[in-house]
Amino acid sequence: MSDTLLNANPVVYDVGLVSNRARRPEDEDENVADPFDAEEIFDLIRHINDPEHPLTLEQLNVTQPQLVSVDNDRNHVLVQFTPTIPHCSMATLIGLCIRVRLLRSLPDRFKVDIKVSDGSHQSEHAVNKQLNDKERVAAALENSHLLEVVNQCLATAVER
Amino acid sequence: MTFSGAVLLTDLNDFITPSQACIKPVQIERTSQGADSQIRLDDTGGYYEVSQDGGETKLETASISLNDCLACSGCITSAESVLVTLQSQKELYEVLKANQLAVQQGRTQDVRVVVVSVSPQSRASIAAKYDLSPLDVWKRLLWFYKTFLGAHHVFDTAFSRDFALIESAKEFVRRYREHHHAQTQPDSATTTGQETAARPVLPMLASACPGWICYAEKTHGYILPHIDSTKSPQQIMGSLVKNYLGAKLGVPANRVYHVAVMPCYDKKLEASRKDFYDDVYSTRDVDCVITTGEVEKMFSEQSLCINDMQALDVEMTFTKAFASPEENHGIPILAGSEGSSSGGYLSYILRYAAHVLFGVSLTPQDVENGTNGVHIRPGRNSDFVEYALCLPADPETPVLRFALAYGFRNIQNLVRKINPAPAAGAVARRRRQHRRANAAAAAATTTSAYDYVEIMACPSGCINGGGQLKPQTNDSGGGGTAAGAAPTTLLAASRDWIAKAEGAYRSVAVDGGIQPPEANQAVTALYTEWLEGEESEKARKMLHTEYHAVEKMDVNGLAVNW
Amino acid sequence: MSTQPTLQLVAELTGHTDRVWAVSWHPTLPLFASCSGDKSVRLWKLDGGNGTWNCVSVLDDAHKRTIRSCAFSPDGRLLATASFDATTIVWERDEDSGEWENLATLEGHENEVKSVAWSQSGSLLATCSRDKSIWIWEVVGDSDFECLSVLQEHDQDVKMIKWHPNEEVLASASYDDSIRIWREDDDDWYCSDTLKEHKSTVWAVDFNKAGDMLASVSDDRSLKIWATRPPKNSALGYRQNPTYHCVATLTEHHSRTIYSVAWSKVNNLIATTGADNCVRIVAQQAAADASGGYTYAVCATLTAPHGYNDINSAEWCPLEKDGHGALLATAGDDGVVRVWRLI
Repeated sequence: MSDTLLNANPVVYDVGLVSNRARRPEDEDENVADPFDAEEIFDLIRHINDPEHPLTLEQLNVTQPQLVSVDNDRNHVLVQFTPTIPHCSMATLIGLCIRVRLLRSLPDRFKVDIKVSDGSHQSEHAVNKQLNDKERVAAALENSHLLEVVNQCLATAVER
Repeated sequence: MTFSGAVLLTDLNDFITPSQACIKPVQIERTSQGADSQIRLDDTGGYYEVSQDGGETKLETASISLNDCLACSGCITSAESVLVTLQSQKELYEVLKANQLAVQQGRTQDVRVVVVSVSPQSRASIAAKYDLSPLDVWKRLLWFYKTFLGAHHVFDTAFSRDFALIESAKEFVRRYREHHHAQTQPDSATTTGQETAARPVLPMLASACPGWICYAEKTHGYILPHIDSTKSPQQIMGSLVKNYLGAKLGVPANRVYHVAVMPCYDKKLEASRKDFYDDVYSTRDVDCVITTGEVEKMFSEQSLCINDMQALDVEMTFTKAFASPEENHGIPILAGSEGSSSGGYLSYILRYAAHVLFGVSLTPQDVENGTNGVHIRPGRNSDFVEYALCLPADPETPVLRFALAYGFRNIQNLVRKINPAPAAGAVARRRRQHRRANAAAAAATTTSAYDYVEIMACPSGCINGGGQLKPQTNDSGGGGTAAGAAPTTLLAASRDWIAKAEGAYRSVAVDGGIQPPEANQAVTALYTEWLEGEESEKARKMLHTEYHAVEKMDVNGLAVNW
Repeated sequence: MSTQPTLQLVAELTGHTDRVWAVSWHPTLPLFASCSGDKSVRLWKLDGGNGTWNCVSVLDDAHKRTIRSCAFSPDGRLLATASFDATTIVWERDEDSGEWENLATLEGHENEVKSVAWSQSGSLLATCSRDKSIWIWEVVGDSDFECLSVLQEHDQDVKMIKWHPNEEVLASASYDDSIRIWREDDDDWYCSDTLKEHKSTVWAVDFNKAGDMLASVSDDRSLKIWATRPPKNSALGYRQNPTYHCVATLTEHHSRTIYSVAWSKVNNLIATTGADNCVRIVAQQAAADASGGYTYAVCATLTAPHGYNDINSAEWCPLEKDGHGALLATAGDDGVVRVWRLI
């Protein structure tokens, strides 16, 4: 797909190689109702590969720890992300990858909202609406071609 | 799923922004290789490649051509902006201006021959709106295009339609004979079994409507072998103008600029098909299609009203007209056509087939009134009508079954019936078998076995095309404006409006009489002079075309529209 | 005032292997269908003897993708299922074998079919899709379907359609935030009314028993109640229709998207469910006041009847006899169907 790059030469950001967060004893105990923090959520999504570049969403600054928020009491996670260009047609696909990653990793109790960060996309409202429509997401994930792309993007995230 | 014509009929809420919904992969030409430059976007939406030394190069904005739309299955609808920017009255103005300049500067070799071919439906739409006769409209259009704007010729696509009718009728008879030959000779059917299965010949489906063709190519590939291979009147006029007229005038095809005036936006798509592109001269058979509505826009751009326009006398060249009736001082008048206002294909093919296959002579009135063995059965809605021909020997069993099917819903029902893999389950199959045993019910179920169907994408057919004029909105009446009226009021008004245009279309035949295609002597002469005979290779090339199934593009995961 | 009602669990029905999207009651029997992301429909029936609910049929191997919606015909003879595979299948129960068989597959939608509904007479079937269109099919003979109309006025996917309980009037809910009302005039279907008060996707609509009121729920987390006003007397010669006007809005009873609304034709209560894992039962508090305003309030709640899972659908049993009208079936992302009794 090299001939279809929308942002052919994106800015690449230096990132730490490992999680900054030290593992705690209770992380290992499956019986404890595990409160999540933003960093843990970020760890799940930082290594997702961009659909178009051999770079992670973190390296492209698409995901950032400060754009993740968790409310353990209300079982709510909000992840915002910043497309590299404001008319990025990959925005819905990137958001879908993040959603699928969290769908597969987080406990059932969490309701997840995925949004582009404020003002970062010219079709912000439309992208957000689509990403948070469970029916559209469910149908998308039944499309094998799309799912293949999502899984490719997630391969790097799951390896870590 | 929809037709672009239907979208354009209403407001354009389906407008596609190429960056978001359009899935056409766009290649960006990079000036430098490697990842050492960035892309910058300025306030106006321009893209710049910024290299490491700070130099900026403006990048080209992705653009989508009509051909991209035609070749893509991403969406069925096409954005109006794409259509309008590539083919519009503006392009015609530019050509006329360039001609004027060339004449002023003495560069006569650069002057292009400008030909305008007007459809009879466009003529009728203008006549209906401005309370003129189609003949009056025609005379004024001649003045407008030739005298006022400086076009060289104005032709009538009802003329080229006579070729289409003749070719369609012959193709139908050929298919009918092949079909029945294969059925009565089971042995030969087995030997060529695969071929027969791959090329079903009946029912034959009309080919004049580009909305229908586009839809069939994008979604129902299996149905393409059913479609009449005959070009539409627009494209036959294209062949005639570029191939015959060009040679006659000693001008290469690219120095003839051919504009078609059509009731339909999808005709622009049709003109852009690769099949109608001349690689040698890099030119299309029809360079530009403008809709009836765009013609009306031209009038107002030139501060003219057709009611006050001057008129020129009708000429015979490539015009469906009767020569010199006495009472008309030797000036030709327009000749009418039989059948529907969508071209009258069903009527002519039925008459021709009845004559050639069964020796029955029918008049256009027989088809219209359901006499002389013709049975007309109104369908479930006004856009579906069945025609059957029964022979005197057996007035109960039709030998030919034809239908008119206009509009999306009727097309749907038709393609469902032709679908080679019937979607019905065990219950339905059992039912049908049961019913076949039941003689009374048999007649009801075999209605799907049509021999020919005149299919048009628009409800009411071409007279109601997406490019036709809209009714005058009467704002001065106080209240009663279109926007505030009840939906039922609008529906009724729209029906009245279509009926008025239909009336104008038919008035040509009422006033001047019908000229059947075979009575069009100019067409007969052209078969000899231009096409080297009726069944010649040249006739095939000039009058027939091919259809191509568009492959689904959703195999590209990045381009999936979800 | 009597005490507030409560919902008591009657049955917990497992078998689906993916989220359950919708349930639909049989018009005359204590039986309902559920459809799921596992591409199957299950039919659940009350065993009159011991009062248990059992799976009596599994309809699978027909749809290639999620079955999003299902609906019994008014005579109970046919079941229509709408799938993300872009088709709608009409099933008929074979009287001899008792099996449900594929009677017809309706194709035409460009992509996911999201909802299917039979008109009150059973002669019309409506489907809607992400392709923004609504199709109206007519039942021809006993096994054929013909497309009567393709309605394309919604700007975005059409999420759900519902027929008027007594007339051939259709309501549609859309991702374009609007509700449209469709009527027929001399074989042409047209949009007679567009209701644009929701701030986001309208997920579902339902009529009351008389059809003069409509309830709608949305991604904007509100439930709106609409009531008809008679047409204004018009000098125009054409027929005028009553129009729907919003008479009440509940905004606080769900904390996330509301996915379903069901207005009982037996007890007049409105059930809503959503992404906040809750079922709410809403009742009209009094007759309309002088200004035509209505008051609605929650009278019963299930806070997490499907655990941490979204509840995609709740439907009231339409049977009046034997107290069946108090039964409510719910379908959740947990793949479980539950039957509740309002007491």
